[in-house]
Amino acid sequence: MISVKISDDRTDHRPSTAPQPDPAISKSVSRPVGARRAESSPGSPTSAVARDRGHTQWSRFTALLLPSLLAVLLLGVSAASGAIPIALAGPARHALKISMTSLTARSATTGPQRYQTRDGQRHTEVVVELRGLRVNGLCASLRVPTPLGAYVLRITGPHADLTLTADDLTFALDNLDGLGVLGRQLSLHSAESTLNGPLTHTSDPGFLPIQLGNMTLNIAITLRWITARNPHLRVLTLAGGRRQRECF
Amino acid sequence: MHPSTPEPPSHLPPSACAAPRYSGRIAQLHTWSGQRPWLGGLLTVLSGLTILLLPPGGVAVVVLPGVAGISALLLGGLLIAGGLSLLSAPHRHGVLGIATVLLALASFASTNLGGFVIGMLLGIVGGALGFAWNPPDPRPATNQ
Repeated sequence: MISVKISDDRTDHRPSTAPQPDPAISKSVSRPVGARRAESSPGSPTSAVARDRGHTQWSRFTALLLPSLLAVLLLGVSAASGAIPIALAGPARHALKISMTSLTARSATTGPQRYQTRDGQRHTEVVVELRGLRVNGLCASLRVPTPLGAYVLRITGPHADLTLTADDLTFALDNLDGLGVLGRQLSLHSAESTLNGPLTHTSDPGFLPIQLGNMTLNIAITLRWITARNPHLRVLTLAGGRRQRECF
Repeated sequence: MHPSTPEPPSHLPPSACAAPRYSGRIAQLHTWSGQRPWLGGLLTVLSGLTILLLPPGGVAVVVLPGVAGISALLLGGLLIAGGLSLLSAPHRHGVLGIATVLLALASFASTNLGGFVIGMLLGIVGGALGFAWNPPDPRPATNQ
């Protein structure tokens, strides 16, 4: 009876003409996978296992990621301070909720204008111009449904006594889907028409003075474009997130 | 009389050491993923999709004319193309990785805060992973 013991230092049981296996490779084959993987480092005898696959060099990853995150931080700070403009664009319509303590301006509205998009469709827009805009206690919020939940973008004036001003605010109203108004004071042309004479005596001919007080607006509109001249927006705070509350 | 003992593994060729430990399609996937920065490419594609689709329909109270209106389509499409290029042309991983990071950063100011920041961060991490990927070493193994 002959017993054969299989071991790493095999020296017999084969004809002498057979190729002699590499002891290191034999060890590699006979060992568990985890042990082989642990030894697969460049320069080791079993490094062939590691070389047939790409790998990530983490120092290069960090060298690119850290400056990028720094740039993101700078972008965020710049956007929050108004140094760089942010574009929000898309085809859908969402309700914008606005509340304010007071608004005064002189407004003018041009008649409906027509424009044609590249696809050949014709649209109608109304251009509204507000001069000498002064707003106190502004809060505007926009609720956008996303796959991760509702996202609320909220713009507020930090204090009611700080005034948001703009010399000239012009926007093109493309569509007005809904308008809900709740307020205590709505005065159109009150100062000039009732006290100081007819409409033609206004300082800005063609413009209608507007004064709103403690006003709440729930509007769904589409603006095609908007421009502002000399806006003072530094008093505004922009916040966004899933846990932000709407204005009302 | 010799007992029936298993054949010792020494008859295997040396290349068997590097043979895949899987079989079939899993082995093919294992081999495929080892030849390219698949995680960086996947994250970059997801980044482009996020910028294109998040939020669904977008925000339209303020619609800016000009390039801002199509920037989501442009940047999202470019990021998706960059991610697919990382998967199909891994030898260009350096250029593609840096370009992906730059596109992701540009999306912040032009496309809904870069897909509400999520798409931008996915693009930055995906591009950095693509940039940091090292291809397989074609040199033969050296036994010492």
